[in-house]
Formats: sequence, C-alpha cells, structure tokens
Amino acid sequence: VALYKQLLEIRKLHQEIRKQGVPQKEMTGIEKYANELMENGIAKASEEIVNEYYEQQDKGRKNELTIAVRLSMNKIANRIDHGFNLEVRVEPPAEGGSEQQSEQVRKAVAAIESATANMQFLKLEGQPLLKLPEREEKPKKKE
Amino acid sequence: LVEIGGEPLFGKRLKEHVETVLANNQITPAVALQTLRETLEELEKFEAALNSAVSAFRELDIGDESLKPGECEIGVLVPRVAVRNQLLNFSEELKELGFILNTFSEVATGKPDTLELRTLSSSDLLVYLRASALTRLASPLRSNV
Repeated sequence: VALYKQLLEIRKLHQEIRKQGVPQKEMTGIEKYANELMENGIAKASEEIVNEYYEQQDKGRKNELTIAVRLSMNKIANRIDHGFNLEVRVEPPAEGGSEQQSEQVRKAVAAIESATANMQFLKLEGQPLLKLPEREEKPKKKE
Repeated sequence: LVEIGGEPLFGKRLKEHVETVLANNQITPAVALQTLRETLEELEKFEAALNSAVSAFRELDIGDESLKPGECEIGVLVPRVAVRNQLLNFSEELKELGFILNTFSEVATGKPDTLELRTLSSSDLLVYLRASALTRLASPLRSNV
C-alpha cells in the first residue's frame, strides 16, 4: 500500500507535467521509473511474503509460489492503476480455541483491520502508468 | 465522503478550517464565532441528512451485508470500461482474480480456497468473496508492504 501511495504521487505529478505541455517522449523516463519502482518493490515484498507465510518444506514449490506471488502482485498493481478497486473486511471471531490459535487469529484480524483503512476506494488522478509483467518470460531457445 | 460533500466537515479538513478561522480573526473573535457557528450548522444539517437516509433504509427494509464472527470478505470492483462491457472479458478477469487469490491461499494455508461467492453487484461489476482470514493476512495489501 505504501508503495502504491508513492506511485499515486508520481501519477499525479505526471499528470501535472503533461498539462504543462511536456512532450510525450520526454515523459517516458517518468513512466519507466514508476514501473521499475513498483516492479522492484513487488519483487522484494513477494519474497518476504512467501518466506513469512509458506510453512511447507517443498523448496521447488516455494520458488514457484514466489514467482506466482510476484506476478499476482503485478496483476493487482496494474489493475488498481487502471481503476479496479479492492477492499477487505473482517468480523473478529468469538472468544474460544487455544491461546496460541487465538493469538494467531487476533494478529490476523488486526492486520486486516489496519489494511482496511488503507484500502478505501481510490479516486485516481492522471493516466495509468503501470505495465508490469503478468507472465513469466520463457528463456529464449538457443539457435 | 468527498462525493457526498462531507469531506470539509470532518477530520483534517475541519481542523484546518477551524484553525484558519481562528488565525484570521484574532482581533475580531465575534466574527470567528459567527463563522464557526455556520460551520456547526452545516455539520448538523449533514448529520440530519445521514440520519434520515439511515432511517429510510431501515423503513424500506434495505439491509447491509454483515459478516458473522470470524468471517472475512474480499471485494473487487471491475470497471466496466476495463472489460469493454463484455461478458467474456469479465470472465477472463474473474479467472485472473481466482489465480491471484488462490496463489495467496496456497502460501498461507498450503491449499487453494473455494472462493465462495457472497454478493454480486452489476451496476458496477462488483464481486464479494468469502475468504479465510489467514489467506488475507498473507496478501500484498498489508499496510506495511
């Protein structure tokens, strides 16, 4: 969310610069920077997410999921940039269960509730900037 | 709040307004008082309008979608223009959504989710899905990402 908020600022400035009549070819640097910013941030976040939450021992699947999470986050970012909106809400569970379970659920609910506040429907300014890759590029075959 | 015209009456915008009124009328507090009374009147009118709307919804039996304890819901709004208002494009988007959410589900729980549908809205293409709280926890929209 913090990363995307940074992008929103760039998007707003991009719009302002465009209004000032700066030629499109001069704007491509900003677009490239915005895409690289998001792509790098997402790549880092996807590794952190899989390392933190994937508890199985299958290393091969873990690598596949790291790629899938990165592509999924790219897809989400591209879509939000094009006017899609996501929201999430949760109702805290009733008391009960083991102490460890309750603590885990309490943390999950708190994380969702804090994210909810940051995920209010966004009124976007300016044109979409993102064209993040949504498919894994296959290595080129040697001639 | 912006769209229904209430933004200046709450939070940061209201604080800024009060501070500006007080700063601009330090020698004439009566003027500041008059301006702030007008703001209060606007706020009271806004509150009355909201209360009327809530009463009307209740009277017309228009309820809200409430969650049971422990339930989590993810809502996705797909702009009609993004799918060119075409069903097949929309279904492709739903497949993408399934891929995205099930990726996070597998990371968090080790298996895909059934992604049970809760509500669909068609004026805007809005899909609400029931989700496991822990799946959501592992998703990228955590506030610290």
